[in-house]
Amino acid sequence: MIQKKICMVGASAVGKTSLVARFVKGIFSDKYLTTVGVKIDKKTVEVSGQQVNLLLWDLAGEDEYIQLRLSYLHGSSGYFLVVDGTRRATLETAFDLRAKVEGEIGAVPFILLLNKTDLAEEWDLDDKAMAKLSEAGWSLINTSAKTGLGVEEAFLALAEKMIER
Amino acid sequence: MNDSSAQSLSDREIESGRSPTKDELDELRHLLLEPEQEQIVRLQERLNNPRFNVDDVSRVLPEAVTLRSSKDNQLTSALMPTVESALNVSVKKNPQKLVDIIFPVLGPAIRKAISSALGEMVQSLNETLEHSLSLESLKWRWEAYRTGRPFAEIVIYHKLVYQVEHVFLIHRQTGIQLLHVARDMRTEEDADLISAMLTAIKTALQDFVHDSFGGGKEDALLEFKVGEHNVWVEQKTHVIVAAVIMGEPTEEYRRTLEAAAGNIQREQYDELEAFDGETAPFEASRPDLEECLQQQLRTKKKTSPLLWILPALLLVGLGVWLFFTIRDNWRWSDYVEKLRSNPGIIVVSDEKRGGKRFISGLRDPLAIDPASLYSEAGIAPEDVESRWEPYQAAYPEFVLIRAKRLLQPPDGVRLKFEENTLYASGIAPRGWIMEARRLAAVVPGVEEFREENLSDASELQSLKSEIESIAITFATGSSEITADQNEPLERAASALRKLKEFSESIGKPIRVEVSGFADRTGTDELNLRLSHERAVSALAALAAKGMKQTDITAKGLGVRTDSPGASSQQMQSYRSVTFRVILPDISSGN
Repeated sequence: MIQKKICMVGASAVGKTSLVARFVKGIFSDKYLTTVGVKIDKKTVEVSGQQVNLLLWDLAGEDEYIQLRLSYLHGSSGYFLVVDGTRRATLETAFDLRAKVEGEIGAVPFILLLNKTDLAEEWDLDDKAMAKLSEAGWSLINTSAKTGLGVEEAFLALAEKMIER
Repeated sequence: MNDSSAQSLSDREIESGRSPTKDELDELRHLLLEPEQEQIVRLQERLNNPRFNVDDVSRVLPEAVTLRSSKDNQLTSALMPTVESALNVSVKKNPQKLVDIIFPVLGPAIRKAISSALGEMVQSLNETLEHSLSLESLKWRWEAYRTGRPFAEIVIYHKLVYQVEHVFLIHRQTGIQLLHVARDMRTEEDADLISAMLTAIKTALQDFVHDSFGGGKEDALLEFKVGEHNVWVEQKTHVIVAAVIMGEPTEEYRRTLEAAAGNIQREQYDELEAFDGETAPFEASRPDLEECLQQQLRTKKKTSPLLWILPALLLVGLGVWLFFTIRDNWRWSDYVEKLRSNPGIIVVSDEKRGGKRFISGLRDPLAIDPASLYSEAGIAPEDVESRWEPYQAAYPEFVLIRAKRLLQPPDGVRLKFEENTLYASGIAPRGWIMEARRLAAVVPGVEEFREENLSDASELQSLKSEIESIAITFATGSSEITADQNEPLERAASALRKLKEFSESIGKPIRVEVSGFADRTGTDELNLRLSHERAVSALAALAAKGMKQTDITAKGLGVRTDSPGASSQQMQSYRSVTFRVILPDISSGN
């Protein structure tokens, strides 16, 4: 069976762990627990007719106190850049992180997830920000770990990108 | 030669300057190519003839099969369906044939399988027996109960130096698990997660070490402990081999791990370098990994037979000593108890010193000799040191014995001791009675001397004489007691009453004979009858006077033998009744 390592990267409290929990176990909890270090989960998906075992490394979110531990990225076949749509600053962090990741493991497939779409009234990404994103030309999926919107699709899309490569 | 001739012909033609005709060319071709053409025809015939083909193939087939089999498995794959269907058809057609063929193989195979299974069973039975009843196993059962872990696990935990439970082969760059082997494959499901976590831990630890102490990140790490498990990680450029171990592995095991990692990297270097998530090719490394699933049992220390013979001997010795000690103690306490129950012996102290018994106390000289009880109690006299102080016990039997020794009562006297009083009864000489009154007071234990039932022997004697001197006389031919005889009759009655009292006091009957006599007047027959009537008449008169003797007999004795030539005075005394007192044999009345 093919095995692929995927990392969840993003600022702290953007919902990385919740996305993994929604994808792997189909559950969501409002309770916020900070990830310390790394949490690993797995899920087997079918991509273009073959079984792929995804090993999901949920890395501790980066903030002003905690730096992303780059060693954990080694061997990743792809990664998600997770942004909290209700906090503009997390997008900036995502840009920084992307550069760091690319510097560490090179150009591997990734998808940017605009998470927390269920909180529409608190949405903080304006046109300017969206313009910057489309400029970058990255793959982008709106997700909500709470409602499950886009989660399954996001993981499958990344798995496909990794297999095609 | 053909070539040279062709060459020469051509040359000639060129020299002659004319073109050769078609026939000439045909001839030339024929000359030049005939042998080859014949060969071609032969080959053509051969190819068209199937018989020839079979022969050829049969010549090369064995070599061809061998050659191809040595290169790859394609021939096997190609033949497999045919062989399978052939077997299938054969079995359907005649199964017996196949049975006959495989029977010689099947028999030994079954025997081997059974003996191997039995061997394992016996081995496990041995282990179970060995551990089901020992003290150690009880301890382990308690531990299993206390910790809630299965007994088998506790046994393994204690019996093992170490046991490798899982070995993971991990791609170093990605942290993806390539292969996993385990002693108990039930945990297979999450093995890839464990591998990923191991990699994460390894990464974190290496980063930590690097950040904290510096040094190259590539340094081969690492050992860490998770609960009761040790995790040993051996890494090469492309692979990590991680072993999860229960117990403390030996340094030798590190070399095994190192060798396995080295081997796998060498053998599968290309696959490792080109790894893109496909783990199937790494199945080839399974034997290397399985090699790492080692265990080492604690070797049982052989104990020298002396180590258990000595305690056994000591135990037996102790047992024997204990037996004899307990028996001796029983015997001794039995003996002391017997002594205590004997009158006249008071045990004051009883102890054991240096293997000897010491006993001391008071002993009445009249009591039993303590030494005489040794043999009955089973005690060796030489083992006993005894000291007895004499004393006089107040036991009634002893007082009586002492009184008898001191007073020396004559025959006819009985002594009795009751409630501190010494009673004397019977008939004794006056002198002894006087002596007894004096001596009784000094007999220890005697407070009072009573002699109401003791009779003076001389008094009895004088009473006897008095009674025997009385005679009651009668008129001639009469048995009637006249008034003048009242006085002797009265005396006799009084003396007999006294005699009766004597008799009662000594507790023995005193017999009295009343004899009637007659004088010579008349016939003997008459005299006999008369003498009898006189005795009976006297007896009746005495009874009337209050005599209560029971042991009294009356008989007529006829004429007195001393009567011839007697005076009339004497004659009267012949017509009389006299008494005889027979005193009892007092020697037996003691």
